[in-house]
Amino acid sequence: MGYIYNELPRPAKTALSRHLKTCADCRSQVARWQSASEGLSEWKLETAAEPAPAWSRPVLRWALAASLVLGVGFASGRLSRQLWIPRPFGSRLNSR
Amino acid sequence: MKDSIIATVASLFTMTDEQAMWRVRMEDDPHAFAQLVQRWEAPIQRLCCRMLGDSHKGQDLTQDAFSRVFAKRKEYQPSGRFSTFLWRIALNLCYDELRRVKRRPETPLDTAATDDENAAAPLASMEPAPDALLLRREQGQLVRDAIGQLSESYRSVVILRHYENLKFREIADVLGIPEGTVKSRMAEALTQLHRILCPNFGRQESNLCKTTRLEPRLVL
Repeated sequence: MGYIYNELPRPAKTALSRHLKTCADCRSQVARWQSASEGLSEWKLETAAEPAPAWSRPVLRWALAASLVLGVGFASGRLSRQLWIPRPFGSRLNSR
Repeated sequence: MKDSIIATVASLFTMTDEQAMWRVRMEDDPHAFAQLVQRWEAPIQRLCCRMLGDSHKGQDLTQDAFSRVFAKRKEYQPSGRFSTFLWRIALNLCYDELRRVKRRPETPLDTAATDDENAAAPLASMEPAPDALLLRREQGQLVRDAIGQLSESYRSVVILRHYENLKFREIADVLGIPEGTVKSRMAEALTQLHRILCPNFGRQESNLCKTTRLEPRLVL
């Protein structure tokens, strides 16, 4: 079953594949299981809606809002700092 | 790629299922519970619909499953996965319902088939080929009826592995049986399904059963 549903580790899968090439009985058994498994996929349900995208979750929305506020605060802080930087000390001395 | 990045970033900010269930257990937190319902409603609904072969009953049972999760919140052990706890509750409800229906049969599966077809009707106009759509629906119905013929223990394994993509190890945890038993049940279920489905699919000119006469596709 691990072979049909891809749960076998690679070495075991390779060994089984090698065996299937030489053993007709096992090959036909695996083929029957595979075809039944493929048949199962024909039944599709039209019921449950898809879950909402991750970004719409409340916690993440709050986190995004908080980071936006922090970002705006940081940016405005950086920009306003340029406006009132005192002149260098040396230049003040020269002006006196 | 973009979705996976968003999902990774989102996971940093969201509670895990286990954390949410812990909050429900300790604080009766309604937001945590709502989050669990939002995440798990669709899979549980699919499980119930497939176990019962009836979408309406499946929806009702989904509500019951979440009510029972809340009622049994004190029994949740944080050492275990929330999903195992939830699958187990939903499956037990399905078993109860199947036994109840067996004792007092209400609706034959054929009626449920009509319900499913009606539910799918609005989508019909989006499909390009009516013949192909009809064939697919008929095949879907055959598969549903075939699964309905399996015993409960085989049915649950098939649904959890094939449709809900649980690993055999996880199914073993949900059912409380060894992994080897899960695999042998799956093998027996697929053998029975092949026996039931192939004559019908063969009649419908499907490619599905032709693999018995061909070489199996070996995935290396």
